[in-house]
Amino acid sequence: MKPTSTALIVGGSSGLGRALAELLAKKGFGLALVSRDKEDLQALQSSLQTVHGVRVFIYPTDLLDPALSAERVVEKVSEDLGSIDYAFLVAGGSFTGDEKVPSLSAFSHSLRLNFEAIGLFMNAILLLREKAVCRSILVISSIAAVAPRSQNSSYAAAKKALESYAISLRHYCFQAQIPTNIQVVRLGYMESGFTRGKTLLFPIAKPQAVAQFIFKLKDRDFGLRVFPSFWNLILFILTKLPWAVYKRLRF
Amino acid sequence: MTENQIIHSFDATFSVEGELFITEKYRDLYFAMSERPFISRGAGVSYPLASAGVGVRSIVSLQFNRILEFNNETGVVKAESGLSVGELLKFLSQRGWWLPAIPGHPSITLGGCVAANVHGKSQYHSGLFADSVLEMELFHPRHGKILCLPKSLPFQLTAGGFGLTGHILSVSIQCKPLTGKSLVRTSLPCANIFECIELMQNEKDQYQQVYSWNDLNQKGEKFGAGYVYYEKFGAEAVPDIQEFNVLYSPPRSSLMDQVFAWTLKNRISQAYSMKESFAPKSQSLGILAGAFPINGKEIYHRLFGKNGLLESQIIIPHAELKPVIEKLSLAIAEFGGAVSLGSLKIFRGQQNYINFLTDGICLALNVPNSARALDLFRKIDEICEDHHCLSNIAKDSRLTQDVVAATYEGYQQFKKDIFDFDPSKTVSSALRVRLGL
Repeated sequence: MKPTSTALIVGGSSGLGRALAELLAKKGFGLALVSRDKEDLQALQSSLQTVHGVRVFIYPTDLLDPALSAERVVEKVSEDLGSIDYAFLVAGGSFTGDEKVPSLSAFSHSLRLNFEAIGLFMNAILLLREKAVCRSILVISSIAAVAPRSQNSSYAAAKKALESYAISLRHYCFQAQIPTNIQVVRLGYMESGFTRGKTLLFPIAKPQAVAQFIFKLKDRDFGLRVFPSFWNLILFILTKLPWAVYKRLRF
Repeated sequence: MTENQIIHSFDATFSVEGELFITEKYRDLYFAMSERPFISRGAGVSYPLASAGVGVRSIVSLQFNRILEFNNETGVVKAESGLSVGELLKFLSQRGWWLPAIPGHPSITLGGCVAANVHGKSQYHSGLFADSVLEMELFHPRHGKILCLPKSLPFQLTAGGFGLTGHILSVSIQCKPLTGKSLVRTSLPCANIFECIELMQNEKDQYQQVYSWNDLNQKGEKFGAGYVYYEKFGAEAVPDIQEFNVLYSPPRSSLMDQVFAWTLKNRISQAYSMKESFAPKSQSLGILAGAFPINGKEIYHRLFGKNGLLESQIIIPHAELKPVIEKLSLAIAEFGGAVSLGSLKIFRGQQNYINFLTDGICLALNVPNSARALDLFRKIDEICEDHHCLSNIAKDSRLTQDVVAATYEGYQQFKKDIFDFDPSKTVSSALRVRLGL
């Protein structure tokens, strides 16, 4: 009998995390879901177990908690699942007050959630390799990392830092011959609490479509991909714009 | 996340400027209910404005759509209230189980089914939707989480209470074994409405579902001529629908909608009659296709354009059938316009609160919305009051407090009990205001 693949999803109770969990459960993956809200996790756990008959473990964890120990969470996941074949680190988001000069709380929360906590989970997974080698770590960045703007400055900065850190670790894994493939997906607009109700210039992707893309990517080795792909052209143009034009853009 | 927008009744006859609150997190859900008057909203396909109101936050439950538990031995399923009845039935039918009461379109949510306490094509056999509900979990800011069992007051107020007790978190349902792989539908023509009723009464115990389509535009002896449909499960599997369609929401005001309405709204009944005259007398349908006859016919609502349609669904007590049908026939003849749909079902049960239930024949009719149609519906109100008929609150957007109070024995008690449950009217809707609840 073919052993079941396993996956850890950080930010696994809603949005893209939930869509990924549902897709992976449908494919028969054993799952570990990390998210803040226990009630959301319990509902998703019950649903995935009932509908798909897969093993699902949940770990209510507040990524903003300064006392968070990603190592402890990852070790517990490894014990429960037996392995972590794939890790999808999709938690993230922007905070009220992250515009113009961000408030202190928006600034620190944004850096913590979008960069530091995700970085700590990457570290913990790599440090765990004595016990369980993760085949692929996939982190979610944003087009904001390439095209920063006044509306979510600390979010964009955190995502830029995350990209840089993830690529550094990818480089390290290659040089240290660690068989863990780290990849970054730079997301365009995706349907979420942050985009709902807003009139945006470009189409908004469904979390299910993003999850499908990520699922196909998990065994590939691209390093960094943009989704939806039309954003490649837009980002190319944005990066080539002279400042005299860029500074006038409202997007 | 909130969005301010114009929210329309599904029949497109009323609208309000309301606030839609969409989330998939329980924490946000509870918070949204604590801030201001609210009403839960499922697929938004209720004909009246049951899930929106002026100054009311409509909390959308569609993201809470998970099947939480299922016992294949007992057939008990527990799911969140935003799950569509179509997705639930697909899940159940693959495992050999079936829902007792199934509304016509698969997009209706479980919360909506409970709130309107809907009936399927077979109320005579399967009762109302809430009859198969074993328990519900409810949230109301004043009471917190409540586990409601069928005999309890919160359960009784919630089943058919149009969402006024709060937000239904989950519903546990006793399913029944699926006894076939297809649905065999047989149709039999009938010369008038009385013959249809007689055919239905004669065969009601032989089939799982018995209902009719009636041409209410016919006059005199032919009034209500049409077809009676008998349905039972068949042993032979046939191809079934894989994906469900989405109903076409108002405002239906595009140029295409207006062209549809202008050319077709008065010819719907004729077109259906012609189609049925060529249809085979017996056909096997996939069980999901058979369960949801409206799936695939979403164009129907577009045919009424931006003015929408009026629906009246009344239960006529058996003893009042003759005078009511005669008066109705005259009223429709006087109306002069075209009735788009006429249909009959057999009902049985005891009236309770504002549930659409009593012994009798259920007659539904649709007409394009117009001033003359409103006159016709006022006559139907008078007929109902004179002959103790019940009008379905879930179908008729313009039904008044006076008519409901006069025809529903349980109205005053429901009004008192819902006020005792929620004296500050934390839960509100346009429907609540209209009915003076």
